[in-house]
Amino acid sequence: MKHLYEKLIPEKRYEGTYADFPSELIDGVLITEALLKIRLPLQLLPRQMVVGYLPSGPISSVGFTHGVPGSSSLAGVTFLSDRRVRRALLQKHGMKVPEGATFSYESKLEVVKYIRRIGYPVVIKEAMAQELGERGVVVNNAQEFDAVIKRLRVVDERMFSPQADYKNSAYAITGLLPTVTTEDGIELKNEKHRFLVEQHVPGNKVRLIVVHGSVVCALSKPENTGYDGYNLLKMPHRYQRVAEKVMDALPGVRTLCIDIVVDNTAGDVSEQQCCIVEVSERLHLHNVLFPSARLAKKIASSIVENEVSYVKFAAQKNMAFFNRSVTTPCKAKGLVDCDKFKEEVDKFYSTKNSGLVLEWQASDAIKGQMDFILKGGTSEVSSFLNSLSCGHGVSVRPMSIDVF
Amino acid sequence: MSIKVRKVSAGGLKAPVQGGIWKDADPRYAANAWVSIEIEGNSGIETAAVEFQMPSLSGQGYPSRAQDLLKEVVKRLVNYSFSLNEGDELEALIEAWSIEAIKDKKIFRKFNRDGSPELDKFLKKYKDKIVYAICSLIRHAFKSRSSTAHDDVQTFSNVAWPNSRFSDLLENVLFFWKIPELNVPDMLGKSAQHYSDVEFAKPLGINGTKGHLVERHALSLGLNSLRFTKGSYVIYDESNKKLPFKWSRTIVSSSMSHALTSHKEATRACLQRLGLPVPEGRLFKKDDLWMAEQYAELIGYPVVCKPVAGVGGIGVFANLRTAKELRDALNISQSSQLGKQDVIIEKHVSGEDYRILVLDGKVIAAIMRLPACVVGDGENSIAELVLLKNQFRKSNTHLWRRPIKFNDTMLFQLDRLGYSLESVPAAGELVRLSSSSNISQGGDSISVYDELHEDIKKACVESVKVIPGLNYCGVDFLLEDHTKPLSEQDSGICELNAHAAIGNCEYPLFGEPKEVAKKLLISAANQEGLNFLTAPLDTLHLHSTVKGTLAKTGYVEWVMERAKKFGLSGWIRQVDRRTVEVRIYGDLLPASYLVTALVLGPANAKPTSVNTIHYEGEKPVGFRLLGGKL
Repeated sequence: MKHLYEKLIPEKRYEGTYADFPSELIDGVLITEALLKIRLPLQLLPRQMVVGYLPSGPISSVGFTHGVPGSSSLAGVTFLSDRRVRRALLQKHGMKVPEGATFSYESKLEVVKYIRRIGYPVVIKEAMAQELGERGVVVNNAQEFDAVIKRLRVVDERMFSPQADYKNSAYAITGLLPTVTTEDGIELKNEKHRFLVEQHVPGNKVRLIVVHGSVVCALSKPENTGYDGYNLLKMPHRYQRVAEKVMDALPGVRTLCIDIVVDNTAGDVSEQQCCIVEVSERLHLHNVLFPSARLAKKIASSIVENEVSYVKFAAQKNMAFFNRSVTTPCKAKGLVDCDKFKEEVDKFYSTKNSGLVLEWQASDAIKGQMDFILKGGTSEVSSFLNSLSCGHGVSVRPMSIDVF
Repeated sequence: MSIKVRKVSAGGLKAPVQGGIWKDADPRYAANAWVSIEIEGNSGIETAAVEFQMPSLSGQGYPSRAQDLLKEVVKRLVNYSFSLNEGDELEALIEAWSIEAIKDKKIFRKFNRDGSPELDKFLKKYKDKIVYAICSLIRHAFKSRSSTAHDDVQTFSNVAWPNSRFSDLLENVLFFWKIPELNVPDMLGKSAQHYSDVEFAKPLGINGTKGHLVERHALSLGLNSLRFTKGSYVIYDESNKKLPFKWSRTIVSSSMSHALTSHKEATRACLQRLGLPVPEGRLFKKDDLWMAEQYAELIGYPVVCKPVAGVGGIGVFANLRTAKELRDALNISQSSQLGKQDVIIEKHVSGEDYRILVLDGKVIAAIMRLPACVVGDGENSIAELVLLKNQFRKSNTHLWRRPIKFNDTMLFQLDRLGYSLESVPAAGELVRLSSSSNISQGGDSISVYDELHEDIKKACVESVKVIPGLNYCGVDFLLEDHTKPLSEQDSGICELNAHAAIGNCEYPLFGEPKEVAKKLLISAANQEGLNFLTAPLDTLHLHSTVKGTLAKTGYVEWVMERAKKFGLSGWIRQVDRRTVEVRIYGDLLPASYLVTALVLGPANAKPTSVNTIHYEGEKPVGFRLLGGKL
């Protein structure tokens, strides 16, 4: 009975598929799934990039990076990452942002004076977002502040680990300021590296998911309940005006995740009644997936539909919300060690109990290529392919996986 | 008895050297400038030199006004015949030259009530020191043949640059002149370019043109700008439609395109899929570098070694011919700023490196990028030729802060060629000082758009089309001959760059400049439907509102000084402690450069935004301060 229940209730089924998945990968997995449903030939690349090749039409391919559609402009996502500029643009457009300023590690006196003026608690963030999903740390006193700044300044070795491929923002500005090594061998960011100090804004935290100008989902973050997730809010269109103002201030981005603080979540909300605390091009659909897998997949499908401007083609392919079975011939390219790759994939596959079928085909060790076929539900195929491509569960990663 | 000055060689240092620059002299004194002359007298050709310390406001560096003044004075020395009984008239003569030079160069900061220029405290100090040093030099050339030390001015005879000092001093050289000035030899039959706007770009510092060019064209097309930093700004029209720019990150290219193109291996995978010419190569994890040598043996030397997500040519080593060269390159690469990255080893394609710019499916500009190099003249050493080349680079608006660098990479390359910094290459010999052709690392840029073969253009356009959403791109193509089709040569696309620097093709060192920024702006403006003028304005009348930490920082004086130096009219007004308004009227180049510079200001000022709109009204005369300063 339990098995049938989990099969019928999508949220339960996806919990199984995505339970041990890094949250950073979820957006990309859902997008890959939506692309698999319309049977586009795909190429999965590092940094969780996926390219869908269109059979014809005005553009030849569509692409996504960590689930962010390629039609979001480079300047647009750059301005979102640059928190100082982003705050200034929002303010120029009459939006409220928390009182804040950026400082370098060398301006200790100035930051102390500043916090004395605005008062604790404050939120500390990198001035230039480099990592996906990183949201800032709340600091309540001077001791905590010192500890956070000390920690923030240490160069995070994870930035250079295999996981960096999906933890770091693929289009972040490359920092070239030389690092500093302390006497005890700890590598620190340059003293000119900047961080943002913002006043912590009390109130109800609401997250808006905006796709192509429309609020498709609003989530509330319950405080002091011990629950780390989000709850779905009814009537997300109440926040449409806020989303429009943000999109107007920060042009060129097709998907936005806007974190706001409001006094109450009932009734319409205008831009004057909320404070914009964070904006990202990443939708963080893992926060939608568990309250509503149906909605998360609908959002991903809608992003793909919008991106594939060859509308007729998309419509013919019947973009269903739930699992369909697919059979996908794949070619992994650029493998350092084909045998080890096979061994690790087999091992990883054996840990999955998702009904997915893996069949090995030809291999060419000299070229570093291996062919295989995956059969199963689109969710399972998508999550499996993303695991291989991003090195989640396998250490030998291909440079690309072509999906035919 | 008379002597005639035949040649002058002069230079200045970033930091003074205790005890003298080229000669170990009196250790009590420090010097940061030298002038050496070749003279023709009764006893034939002889040399004499003087070393001295130029005072500076900060106590560090060498003031640019003093550089200007010194150059003008030493220029006048050449071919001048001094007589022995010149006496006190010598001071009067050099003094007169200095005053004349100051007038020419418009370096006065102080003016009398009647508007006539007056020497400020520092300009007077610079002038006095130069007059004293030059007079000492001439007198020494006449009277003394032995080394003398006087005050902090030291004179010498029969000077020659001691080879042993080169490696210590070269990185310290701030400027270096030889007069008569040597002609910069043509490259590929293209003549050296000199640009008139380099002085306007100087307040912007390094990367000045990168953040300025688009704004200049936007203002000339009647658009407004809102600037936050030197590289981040928004162009907007009257209906508030916006175009964000961060350096050359624009709205015409997608986020995905940058994510993909900045990963060199992923780019290779994409291009290979469509059969485009890419060199054979592979990525190595930084823990597996021992395998790189084996792989290089497999694909065959020569190979290239580069970091996977490189930027600015850092850590790139090309044409590595042996396992030892590869090992050495990997070691240097691992200690570079990008040393933590994984490394790509790929087959070296023989040929030169080209940057070809594609916008909206068309090639709009192309430059050949030669690695940092000098052309021998049979007289000067490689070190001197590099210093002279750097002097030429200073006249290039885009490259004036990007000299050829004296570093391990250069010594590595020279060693491979069997040269040292003191070697004197034969006349016409091209000596490559690096294997990386990146212009930021000292490479030459030669405009070749007009001769670029159609076949190459087609391959560039096709490769850009492969990347989703890539509409502005710098294609880095290795070609043996850019005038021939690809089928007749060894070639390979080694990189695509979604935010290719704008200034390279606008300011090539050699050959005809091509317009890039304007085309990029118009493409972006058309995409977002902005309204702009069809006929660009030559003269701008602008109103800028500057916000930030401005009071008591010297910001107002800083702006006024530059506005006057640029020949602009208008006014500046301090509205409150955090707001300054500036009205600017003048020619497009100086006016737009000043607008860009407003976000910088002096060291203590911290402007956070500059909003600039067009103003229609009475044209101001002169540049004034309105109201008081807060």
